[in-house]
Amino acid sequence: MMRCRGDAVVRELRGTGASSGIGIGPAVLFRRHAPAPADGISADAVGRETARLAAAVARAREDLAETTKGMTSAVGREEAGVFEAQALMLDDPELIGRAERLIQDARCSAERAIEDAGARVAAQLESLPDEYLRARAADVRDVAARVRAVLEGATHPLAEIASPSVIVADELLPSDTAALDRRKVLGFVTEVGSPTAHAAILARALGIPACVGVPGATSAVLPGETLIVDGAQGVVLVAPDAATVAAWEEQRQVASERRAGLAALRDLPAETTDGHRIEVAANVGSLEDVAEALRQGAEGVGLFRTEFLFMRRASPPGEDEQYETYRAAAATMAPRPVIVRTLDIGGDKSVPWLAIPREDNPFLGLRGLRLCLRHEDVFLTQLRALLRAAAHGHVWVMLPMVSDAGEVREARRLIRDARAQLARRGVSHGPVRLGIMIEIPSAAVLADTLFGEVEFFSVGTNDLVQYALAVDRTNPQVATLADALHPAVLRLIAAVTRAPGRGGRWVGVCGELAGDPLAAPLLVGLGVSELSMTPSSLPEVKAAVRAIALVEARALVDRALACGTAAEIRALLGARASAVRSQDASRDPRR
Amino acid sequence: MTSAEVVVRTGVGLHARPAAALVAAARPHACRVTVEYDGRVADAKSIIQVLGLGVPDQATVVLRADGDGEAAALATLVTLFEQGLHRATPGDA
Repeated sequence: MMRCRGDAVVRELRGTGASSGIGIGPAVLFRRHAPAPADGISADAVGRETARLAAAVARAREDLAETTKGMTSAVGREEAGVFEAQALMLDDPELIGRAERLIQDARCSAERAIEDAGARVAAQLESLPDEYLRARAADVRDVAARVRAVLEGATHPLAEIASPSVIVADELLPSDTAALDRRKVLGFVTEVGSPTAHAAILARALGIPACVGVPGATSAVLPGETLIVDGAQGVVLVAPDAATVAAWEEQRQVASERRAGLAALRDLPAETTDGHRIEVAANVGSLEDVAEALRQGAEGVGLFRTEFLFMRRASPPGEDEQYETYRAAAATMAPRPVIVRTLDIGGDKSVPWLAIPREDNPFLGLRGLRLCLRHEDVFLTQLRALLRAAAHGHVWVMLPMVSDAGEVREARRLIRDARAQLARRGVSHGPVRLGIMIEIPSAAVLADTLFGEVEFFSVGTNDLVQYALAVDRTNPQVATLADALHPAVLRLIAAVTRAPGRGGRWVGVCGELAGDPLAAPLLVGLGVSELSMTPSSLPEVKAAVRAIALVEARALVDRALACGTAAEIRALLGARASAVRSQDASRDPRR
Repeated sequence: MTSAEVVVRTGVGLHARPAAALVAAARPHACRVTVEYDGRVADAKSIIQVLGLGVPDQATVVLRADGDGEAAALATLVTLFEQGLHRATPGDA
């Protein structure tokens, strides 16, 4: 789209605002779905590429040895045999020698060489009549993919950004953003994705402006062109003139001053005007985030995502490595609690060390707790690390993707096993509270049957919305339908908070909805115990809670639960917000 | 060059674990070691080539060793076949 402003032409791209704020800076382009550079490396690059290949093979061999060593009887000898065969393939002239020749003779990059060599060897095995040997073709491909993952990990394009920039990508996956130096990102613009996709969540967590669902962004922008990203409106201005940049820069300053004002709320409780206090906590995905959570005034960690420990590596982290991380988080937050979500992969998050067969509907497939119960050795390792960390702070263990009590009982049995294993080894460990995420509608509907099984609940609204409304949140065609303020979602939350027999049972909310100041009165009125959100949202949500009375919030909930659409609820909340503004424009949230 | 005929008695043929055991045993030897089955020859130091032979259980294969230490190499491998191509696995509980 073009827009004329005076004699200057401003190119404007539109998408969906996913993280508010204004970002101004040069564009860096990243195409995730572009094929690997084919070949055509220069003659003097042959030595370099050969050395890169050798280093990657060595690294992959170490990772594989680690994986094999961690194999226990739980997985069995047969499985361990597969990894042994894979380790031998890494030294096999048939595979590695062929890749080296491809670099020397065909001038392939190391990535392309290992992929091609793997594909050719796999094709040979696949042509054999023996079914077992055809399956070994997959091992060859897996070995090649391991090497390639190491090569790419070392040279991920996003890891090499030199100066602060706006990232323009077709799609950003968790493994891409893991490579980013966060201090060098001024904004995100992606072609696909919804406000609840990974990149958007990360952007909000970091307070980085982001627009998602901007069609054709990677073709419309040239590398190095100046971009202005308006993450609230979902607008991107390309190559604006100096006057436009100056005007937006001024707006950016005003916005950041407003944030500074909210920061004054840091040490005040989230308490309604009539004295009802709720906890406010932070969602974190790394140890850096834990420090940021404390800076923003979090009273705990309501969601510690453990996936970062498991991604972008060729083998899962060992017990000691995990223990160190969990211990550091628990000790940093103590005496505040840290709610650690057990490994939640599958869906849109995959790891190279666990071959999950391709699924037509991964969000309805083997993910979260289901996957952990299927891979008990991985799960037990994590549970042991968590039990050990519990000796150093308050660790609450939260299970993702629970559909009913059966899975909870299985998990509880494994926690007992993990504890017994530690006791046998004489390793010190501490008590944990066990809880579940409410993200599958069945768990919300069955809340009363789950009260006796666990000690706490936390509503994960992102997946709850996706499953309750049948909306794939990564599909831009329907992403706008994924509105957490839908009455069906609120009724499901009410099914938990108002379920008979709840008593004093702790119910938190840790999805994106918890970080939306507009939704805060509703969640308080529904009777949640805690709101957990990206640290940067804490001040705004605190201000929203401090601006309403509990009685008023409950009345608002009664009206919202009677609504038939998300639009009606938004209208209700909008009307209230403007009424409050006109009544008392000068009320100081700090009171 | 020295050679010997051996029978594969592993229950599963010359597949992943037995094949891995053979390759691991062959690699430390300096001489060239091959396995022949059904008219095809594989480098015993290449897991991919060994697997590619597709040797079924109870099949007879010809082992050949050629070069430095060939006699010792052949003796080691023949013993390995006689014992059913087992190998201690690190990490087995």
